[in-house]
Amino acid sequence: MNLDARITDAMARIDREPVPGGPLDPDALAARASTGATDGERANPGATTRPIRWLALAAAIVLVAGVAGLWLIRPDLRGVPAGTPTGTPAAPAASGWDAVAAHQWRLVAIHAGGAAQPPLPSRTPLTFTMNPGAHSDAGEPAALTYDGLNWVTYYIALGEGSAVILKPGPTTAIGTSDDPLTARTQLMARQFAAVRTYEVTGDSLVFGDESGPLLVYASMGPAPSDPYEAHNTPPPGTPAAPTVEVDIFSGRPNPVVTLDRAVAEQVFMMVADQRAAQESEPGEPELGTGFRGFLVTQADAFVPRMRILPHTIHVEDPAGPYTIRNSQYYQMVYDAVRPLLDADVVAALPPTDPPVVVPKASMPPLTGAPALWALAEPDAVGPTTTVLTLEVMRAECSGGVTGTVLEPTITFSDSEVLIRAAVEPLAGTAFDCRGNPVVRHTVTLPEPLGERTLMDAACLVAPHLRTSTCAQGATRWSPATGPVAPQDWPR
Amino acid sequence: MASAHTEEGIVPFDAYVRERSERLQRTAWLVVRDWHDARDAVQDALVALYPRWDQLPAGDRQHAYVHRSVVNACLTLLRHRRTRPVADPDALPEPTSTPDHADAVTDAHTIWRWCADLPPVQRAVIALRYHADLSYTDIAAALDCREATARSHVHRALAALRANLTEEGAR
Repeated sequence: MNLDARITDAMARIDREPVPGGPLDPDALAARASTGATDGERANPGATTRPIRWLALAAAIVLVAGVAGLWLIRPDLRGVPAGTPTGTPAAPAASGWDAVAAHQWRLVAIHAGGAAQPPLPSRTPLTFTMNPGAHSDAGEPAALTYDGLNWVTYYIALGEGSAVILKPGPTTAIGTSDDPLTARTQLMARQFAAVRTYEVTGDSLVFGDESGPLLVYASMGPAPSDPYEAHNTPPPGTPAAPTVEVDIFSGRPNPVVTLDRAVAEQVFMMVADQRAAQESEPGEPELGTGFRGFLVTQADAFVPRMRILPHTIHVEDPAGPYTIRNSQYYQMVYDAVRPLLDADVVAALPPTDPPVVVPKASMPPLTGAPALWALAEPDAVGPTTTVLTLEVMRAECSGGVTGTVLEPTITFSDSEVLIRAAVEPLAGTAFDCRGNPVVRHTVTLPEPLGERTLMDAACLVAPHLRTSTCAQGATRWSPATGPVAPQDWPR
Repeated sequence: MASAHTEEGIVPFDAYVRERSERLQRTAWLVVRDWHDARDAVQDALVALYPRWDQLPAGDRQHAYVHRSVVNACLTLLRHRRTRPVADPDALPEPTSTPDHADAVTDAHTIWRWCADLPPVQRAVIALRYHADLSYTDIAAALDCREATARSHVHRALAALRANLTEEGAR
């Protein structure tokens, strides 16, 4: 008998084994769920030897019930306007496009070449908005998209003058030629471009064309009033925020900070993809003294702990630890946690490639929507300069609008001048990613520039740190090199 | 309350528990190898699911969802008892079939022992695939992973079991 048959037979035989205690009592389970009390149904010896566990379970049930009750009766506490349908996931109560717009969605299948392909796992919710008369490039992608994790605006042309805009919220843009997501991203782009119909059935949303489904989504519950909120307020059932422990100290506690969910999702997805692509190898890291990695922990039974070193990620998979060689993981987590760590810890971290400049001057706070800037009259800048004319460009996707420039924030050290530009936040969330125009703005320095380096502070921190505009660094003028133009700056 | 919901297309909580809780306990046993822990895991999973039972997907997806919760509860239990042996031969049920089927029973016993040596996740996928009879899509849903990952887990588990088979043949 072959192995398959032997296993099947063995599994069939387990069904003939008597189950001690027999079937469970649904009423007892329901009572336990309702009250959190220990039920009389549990007559097994294991229960009596674990009183603390059951006390903890009871406390957890009471706590969860309390939080859930508060969540249900106080929609204002979760940013959902009164009257918004609650319950997750719930069958869309509305019909047609209203049902699409009223819910958050999660991609569950991509149909391509006649077969459904599973997407990468993601809990990042997506929302869709209809924008009649919106700009549309005939269904061509306005930006790369992948399940809500890249910087996304996407049009699906559904009819004369109407377009669906996919807008998952602000995320970190990570896309390089060797990005393991690229192939799938391109597939997604092709599928979006082909979408001509949509249909909501139960808790499913299917975008398709004349020949059948192309993209299938499942409801994740009601859409928040502000799609950006979805990024920061994950749907009920999502595990607690992932944490990063900087494994660096001996004899005192390591610093632990929260990791941005979008970054964590990107890490988990890339690991899953590289693992599936057999780009991993079994083994554990050899750890010495000093920096022993970022330990990323997600309170989720199916996401193992990960140790991230500058050129590798080590996954503590219960089925066997494995390693993936890729420097991107370290860069991603480094960029995300660096602003949250003390300076002495940051100084002890291995540099990224390319290294991130850590200025002596304190980082100016962001006062509005983020913007990047370049010198409008670079040749006029020198040590005696006190008035600078900047070309300011909104950094976010905004449908080709930079808008009103706010007063930039300026900080000094003895060797640097940091200017952080900002623009007025725009109302609404559904914008395409056309290039934004530059707007001139004059800045007066409180003292002459002197022999100090002039830097765009936005290029020193995520998410713009590794964008093409900041690829040449944050410096816009230095006494040694003179003016430096940002890469890909519109002229 | 006798029933958690009445939504069309979903097996009611009462009926589901009465009809399937024994089978779920057997599936859980294949993962945790202890009848008391298996019962605990299934109870934990069902108690957690009860408040949102009427929001579960219908049909086969309902089973996948319940299995996901049960497997999750099993893995949590295993994590909490790391100091205890996971594959305790004494915990295996004694063959209860008639002597006519003694060879087959011994063979089943051997397979269960081999499964006991697998890592918990691989044990779970074997239980879901061969006992719960879930598709790879549903196993992936149950484990919250990609279908390719689920296939990979099954493949690795089968490879390990096949190695035992080869070793057995060599003896």
